[in-house]
Amino acid sequence: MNLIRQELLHLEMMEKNKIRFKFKKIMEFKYLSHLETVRLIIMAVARAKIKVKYSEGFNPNPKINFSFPVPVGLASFAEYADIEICEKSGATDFKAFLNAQLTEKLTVIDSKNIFEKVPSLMADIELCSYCFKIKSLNKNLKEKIKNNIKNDIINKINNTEFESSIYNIDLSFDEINSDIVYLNLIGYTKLSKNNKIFKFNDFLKYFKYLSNNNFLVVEDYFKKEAYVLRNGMLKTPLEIV
Amino acid sequence: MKTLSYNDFEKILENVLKPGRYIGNEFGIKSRSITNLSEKEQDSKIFFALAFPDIYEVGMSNLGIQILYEIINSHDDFSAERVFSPWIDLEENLRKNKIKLFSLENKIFLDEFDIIGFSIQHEMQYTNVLNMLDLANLKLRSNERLSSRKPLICAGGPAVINPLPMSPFIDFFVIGDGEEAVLKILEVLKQFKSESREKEWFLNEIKKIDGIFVPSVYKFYYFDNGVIEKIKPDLKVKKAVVKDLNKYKIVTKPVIANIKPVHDRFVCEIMRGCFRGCRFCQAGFTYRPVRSRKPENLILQCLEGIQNTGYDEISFLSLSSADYNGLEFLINTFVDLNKNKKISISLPSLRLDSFTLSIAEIIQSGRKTGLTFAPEAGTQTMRDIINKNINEDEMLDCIKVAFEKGWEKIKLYFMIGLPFEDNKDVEGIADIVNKIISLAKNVLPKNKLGRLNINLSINAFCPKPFTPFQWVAQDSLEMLNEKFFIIRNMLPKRFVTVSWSDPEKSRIECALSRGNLKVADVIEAAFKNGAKFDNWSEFFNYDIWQDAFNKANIDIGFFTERQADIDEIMPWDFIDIGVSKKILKNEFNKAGIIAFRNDGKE
Repeated sequence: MNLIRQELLHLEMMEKNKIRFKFKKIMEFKYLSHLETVRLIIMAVARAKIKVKYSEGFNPNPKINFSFPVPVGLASFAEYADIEICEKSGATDFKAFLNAQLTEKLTVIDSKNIFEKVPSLMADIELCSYCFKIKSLNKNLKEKIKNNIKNDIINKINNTEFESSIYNIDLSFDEINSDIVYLNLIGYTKLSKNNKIFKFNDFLKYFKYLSNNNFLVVEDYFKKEAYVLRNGMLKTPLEIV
Repeated sequence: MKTLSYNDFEKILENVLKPGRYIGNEFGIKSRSITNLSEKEQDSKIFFALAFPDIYEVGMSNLGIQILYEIINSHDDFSAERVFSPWIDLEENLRKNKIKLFSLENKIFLDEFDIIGFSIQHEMQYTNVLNMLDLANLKLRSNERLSSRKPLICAGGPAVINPLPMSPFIDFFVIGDGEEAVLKILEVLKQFKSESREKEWFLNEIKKIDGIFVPSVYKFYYFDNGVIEKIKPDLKVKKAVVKDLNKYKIVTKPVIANIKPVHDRFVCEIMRGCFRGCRFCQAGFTYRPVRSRKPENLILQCLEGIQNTGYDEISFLSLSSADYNGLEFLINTFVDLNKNKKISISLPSLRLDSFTLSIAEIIQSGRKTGLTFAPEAGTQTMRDIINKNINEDEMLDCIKVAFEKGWEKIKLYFMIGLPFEDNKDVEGIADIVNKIISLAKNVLPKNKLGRLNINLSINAFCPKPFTPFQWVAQDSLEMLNEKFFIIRNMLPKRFVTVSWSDPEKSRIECALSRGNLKVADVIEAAFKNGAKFDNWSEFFNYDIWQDAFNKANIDIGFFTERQADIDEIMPWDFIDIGVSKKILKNEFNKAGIIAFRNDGKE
């Protein structure tokens, strides 16, 4: 009897399986807080009959670890989580099963099995990229004005307290709609000697103010990607597993 | 149908505390998108707004809403969408931007619906009903809405069992169980819409359905002293009753709330009604007859529900689960079948004794969260008067065993201001608590005594319609506070946490629940003076209500502190809930005899 039990335990250990997945949280679902999102995903995992590993103790919790919370109201195409499951399920099946229980506005985009030990998402992710879609109140942004805007806005931002929290910033233009401009920004999510943490909501407030002064309207914004640093290179959390 | 644009939706959610309340798109919603329905197709359907006059987290925990939502949406011709009270921050944004209240599913403006049905759980939600009508830009009184064919406004739920205080605002009421009544109403409504009938025709047709009260049909005549002289016509509205609950499956695919509801678990209703007959309990009389679901049917449905929802907790709902015939079978089987899953069970109304304690042990295995006892009164005489069949020695024995088994948290429910009550009965409450403390000192090991936690909850008794105490006077605020301090002063500070329900709120609740048509003016005046979320202590404002009574020139004491004559016509006498007035009178007399007999002995 004991032998069988040991055998089963062994099997369970063997079948321990870790998956990293990337999900988006857009449209109405951007209004959910981190905890509310976690609750919905855990319930969806249960409905998908995915056997999650639980922590031990009196109040066992499913072993799912999420990346750093995104502010309420900010749509994101790059939320990450690691989940431990007790069956040998492939990452592709996992994605399909889970998505069958989720809405398209909160859905898994990609997933990968984790085979080697990796740092937790919370500890590993150092940067996030954001995109702001800006519309000009002048119908046609002539080349000259475009360059002015570029210098004006980027210079102004670089002269603020935000500068030390920004890793990279640039403007791009829409090929078809000449009155649309995109601001792409990569900010630090972790404090270090050389930089501060990028505070999205504070920046948004400032950027809206700045845009208004330049006859521009911030139409939309979202979180595009999260990055870890490997040898000075930016990698997405899925590229490193 | 006019709907809220996504841009406006984003605009009004700015600076809103919990925007997740308003996003809809939940897992399990059953109504279909209207964007790909042509105008003609929209026109051929009946759109029902299920309105709940409290916030999302409270409404999504309500079983009635989920039941009706499922029933209505299972028909192709009907579509139900949900709407809850917006929290004050969203209300402010709606009013500021002149945007009307909208449904969660398709964000349809409320005034576009064919019918709005309010599910009203308690009297303190009345002002929220008016607020929702106002936010939908609808006139509050039905006689101001006569010219518009839609939306029709109806209401149901436990707080309209006496419908009079709300009846000027509501076109018709559903008294009793909604499962069967709602479909009958919708069939008539379909005809009303497709044949473009008169509103009067509609009201005339639905009043033939069991449980439907159409206020415009009845007239009330009063004596000079405010008591009702007669009600015309002399016709009774018969409560709607679902005779066999087993005909209906429990809701196995509920809508999963996007943000944590107050009761965040799968709900299985095991029984409707209660055998006990406690004389203060309105639900005990209005939910009669007792109807049980067969436990062998429930097992599969519960497994299905857990699978469909992903919940890790199930609640077996009834008014008194210990009286449910298959409780042990149900729980043991459920526990057996879920051995490998981490599913916990909750029994919100488990009456504890030596037998049911073992059930409590099964469901609280691992983490002993606490035990709840509701003796309601402090002495045996008082408990006999209210017919609460709990014996003090048995209860103390049970608590002793519980302490021995490792429980340290006890929750106790009592009422003060009960009929025939004297100070001895009040002191008896503190006596029981002190006995439990000495018991704990004897039984609990020294190192565990510090963790003893007695949570004493004291409520002011509020006499309710359709109970044997419907005639009795409520204690004045001074008397209630005095009685509370008697208890407070007899208790040690250590081990006991006392919570005392606001007696002012209880007084308003009493006046509203026993109100007649005139009380409607009070509700409207209170709403116009800013009353809303009256059940939320941070919002309840007694002064607003006192002003409202003054403004309407109505003495609040008439409905609270006045002992009614036993032969008086009560405002709710035209409703037949299935328990005759004679039975209530008999029960009241029995209570009086017990009080009298015990008085004589001492």
